[in-house]
Amino acid sequence: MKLRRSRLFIPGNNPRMIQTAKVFRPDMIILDLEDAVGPANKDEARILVKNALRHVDLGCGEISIRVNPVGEGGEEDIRIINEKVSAIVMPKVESAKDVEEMANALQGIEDPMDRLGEIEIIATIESARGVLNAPDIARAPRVSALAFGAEDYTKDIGGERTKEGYETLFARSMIVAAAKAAGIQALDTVYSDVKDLEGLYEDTVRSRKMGFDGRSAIHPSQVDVIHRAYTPSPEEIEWSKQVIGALEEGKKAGTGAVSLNGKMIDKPVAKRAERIITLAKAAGVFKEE
Amino acid sequence: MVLNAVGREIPEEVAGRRLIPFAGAFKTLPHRRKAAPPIKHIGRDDKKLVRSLEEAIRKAGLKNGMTISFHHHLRNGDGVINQVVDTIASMGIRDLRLAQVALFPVHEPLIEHLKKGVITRIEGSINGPVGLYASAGKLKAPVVLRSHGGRTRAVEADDLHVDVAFVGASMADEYGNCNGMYGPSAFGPLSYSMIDAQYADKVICVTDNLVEYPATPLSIDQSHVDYVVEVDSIGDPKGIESGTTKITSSPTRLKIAQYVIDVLRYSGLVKDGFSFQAGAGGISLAVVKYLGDMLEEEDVVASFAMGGTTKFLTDIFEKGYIKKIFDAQAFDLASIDSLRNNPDHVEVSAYMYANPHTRGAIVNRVDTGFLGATEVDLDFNVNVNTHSDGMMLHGTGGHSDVAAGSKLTFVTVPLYRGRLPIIVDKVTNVTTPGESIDVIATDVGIAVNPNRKDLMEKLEGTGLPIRTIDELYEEALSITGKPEKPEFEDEIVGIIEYRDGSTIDVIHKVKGYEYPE
Amino acid sequence: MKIVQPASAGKYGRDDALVEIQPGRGIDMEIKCSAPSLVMKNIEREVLEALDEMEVRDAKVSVSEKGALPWVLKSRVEAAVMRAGVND
Repeated sequence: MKLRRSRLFIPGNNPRMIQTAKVFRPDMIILDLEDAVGPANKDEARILVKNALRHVDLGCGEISIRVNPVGEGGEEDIRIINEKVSAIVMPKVESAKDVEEMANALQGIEDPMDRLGEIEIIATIESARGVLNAPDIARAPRVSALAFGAEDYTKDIGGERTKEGYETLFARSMIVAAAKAAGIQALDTVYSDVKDLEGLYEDTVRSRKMGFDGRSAIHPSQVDVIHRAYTPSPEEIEWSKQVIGALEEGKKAGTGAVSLNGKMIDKPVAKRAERIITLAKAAGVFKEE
Repeated sequence: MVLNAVGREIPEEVAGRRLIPFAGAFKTLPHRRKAAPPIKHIGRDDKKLVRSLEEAIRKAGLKNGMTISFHHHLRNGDGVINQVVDTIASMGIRDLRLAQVALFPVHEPLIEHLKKGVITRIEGSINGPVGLYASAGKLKAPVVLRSHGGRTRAVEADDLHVDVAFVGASMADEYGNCNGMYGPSAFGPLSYSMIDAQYADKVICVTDNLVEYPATPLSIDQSHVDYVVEVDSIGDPKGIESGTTKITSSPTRLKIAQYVIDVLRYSGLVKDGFSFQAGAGGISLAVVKYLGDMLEEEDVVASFAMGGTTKFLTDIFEKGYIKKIFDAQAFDLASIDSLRNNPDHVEVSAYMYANPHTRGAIVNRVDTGFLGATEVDLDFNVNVNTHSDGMMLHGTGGHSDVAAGSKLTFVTVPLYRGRLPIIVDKVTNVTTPGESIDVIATDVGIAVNPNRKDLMEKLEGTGLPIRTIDELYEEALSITGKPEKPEFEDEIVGIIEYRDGSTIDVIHKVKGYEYPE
Repeated sequence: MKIVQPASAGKYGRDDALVEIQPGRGIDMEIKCSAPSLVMKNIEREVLEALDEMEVRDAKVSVSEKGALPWVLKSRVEAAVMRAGVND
């Protein structure tokens, strides 16, 4: 599974931010044609992003586009996709049907590019209805991650954003559970206070512990902090090495069940260890023995 | 014409001035005795306090063709140069050579005096409007641009003879003891006037805060001052805090600052006893801040910092992570306060700070410094004086001094600005030679000078984006496209003098450029 | 494309360009840029290339550039043309 610890939103009509995005090395860049662009400028932003995809080095991370909803410009937005784009981010998804509509539209543009079925969908859930439909959305075609949009969700339920986050607890838990049950990723919302990097770190650690695989960033300075929060501790790395080591020993010896320190290493444990190693390598803190 | 050590063509002579071609950063050594001003007698009953600038100028004997000098401590808040030159103009004195340390946009009114021939030559850093004027070749002789250290060298060697030095002071007594530390216009150290006070034929102290004798501290003492005059205002210290004294908020520039810290971390230099040059400029200030965080994290105490002082620096000092500060320019109130109140925060002369022809300058003791550039080339040569279009728009400051002295010199620049690459094949003009530059830190990668194999080894396997300078150059070009290069005329409008008195480059007039009237 | 009405795209801001286009005879171009001695020729060429790619033969174009890289300039010309023109 792809590493999506950080997803940096880049306003689609901002040349400077587009051309400097790669400097910050986020796991994913989201070229935003939706909320970041006013209605009068959707067309020029689309052209700017189209040319960015074709002429700008956007770095080594995944490249995605946050498109407008189908019927509100989304169909034109996906026409600019080229071989560099691995996913689209769909905003305000409320049902599997929303996703299916977009999936059909994607087929039309993928075929001429010889990329049939390749473009993934990251479905952003930003409403009560969307949260309750999360299990269905997670199983919809092409959906490789469920993302959460806290601002719009909180408005939708008539709640109020708080530092403790009670108002979004159910939604986030539901999204994580739905995503993991469907075998896909769960991606958390933005942390809006761009000046509070300590707060971002703590919130991201909490988010990681809830089961999220990453979160969005709205400012480049947030990327490194998010990565730090997703960097495993030396103890976790050591434990993971031991687990992998025990599994390899077991494989060599041909033993079915493997244990470590008296505890069984089952599939979820093995998966967790692999994930920790992946995160450690991405953070540059994994040393091969 | 002679090719100097950085491959620039230097004429043997320009406007009556013989030029020594730059031979290498440490090759041109002193061979003379120090110049000396006339020995004076000012007796018990003689009065130094005069009633007006005009009286001071008259008594000082300023005549056509002479040289006048000023410090730049009030930067864009300076009020001394304009009012002194206005007064000189009204007295009918003409054809002066201006030997200021630096000019700023606030000095734009000087252009009228340049047009009228009150001032016909400039030997000092120029900035903005006056730079544009000088770039058109409108002065009698090319502008001579020197570093801070180089200027003090030139004054001491009498290569820059000052007839009348005007010392703006925020506190002075009637006998000429003066400083910049106290008073409503306080600006901090008087570092850059100290050499003028020692060597100028006449020294006039200009203050807006006359106090009872004796005024202390004695940044410049009475034995060097001929006349004292009180004016309404010497300027506005708020003008010191210009764009160059705000920490950058640009994410890409902050990234560059982070790369500097990362390289420092691996360099092995940051340990107890470490020292650094603190500067102004958005990226430099970010580096200072991050450095402070690093010193605190690793519990390392620096032996000293050389400033350019700002609150960012004094905060680290007050927390105990820097033992001493040497100060040649204060950029904000916090640093002036620290200078006043803390005996380990010390005013030093520009002479001691950076002159290469002394018994040892402070820059020689500095471990690391972080500098800017308008351009950097494939040989690591740096341009700070002109832009890629050939316009003469900036002084050298302490650039080549810090670069020559420090063990690890960084230049921090974005890969390109607008449509123009900053990494170029050959800089338009050379200010600082590549041999003095160790690391170029850009937003997309870090280039280490090939002559620093020791550093390259330390950075291998660290995960930092180490690139060759050629790779950075190619990348810049692939993004911006190749801009045109300006065409130049034979006429020389500027001489870039290296800190040792040799000529590292000359600035030619841009073909067809006329000063927009 | 045939230019049938005035339109503009982009903005005169850092790293961007404001491109204004209106009907005209032949290609009549006016350029305002920073560091003209260094970049004017390149900008002219890029604008002409972008117009040519869209088969615009007649237009009055005004470009106010503030550090727009080639890909940005091309985008703004394209967007202005799409707003100002029709397929002919």
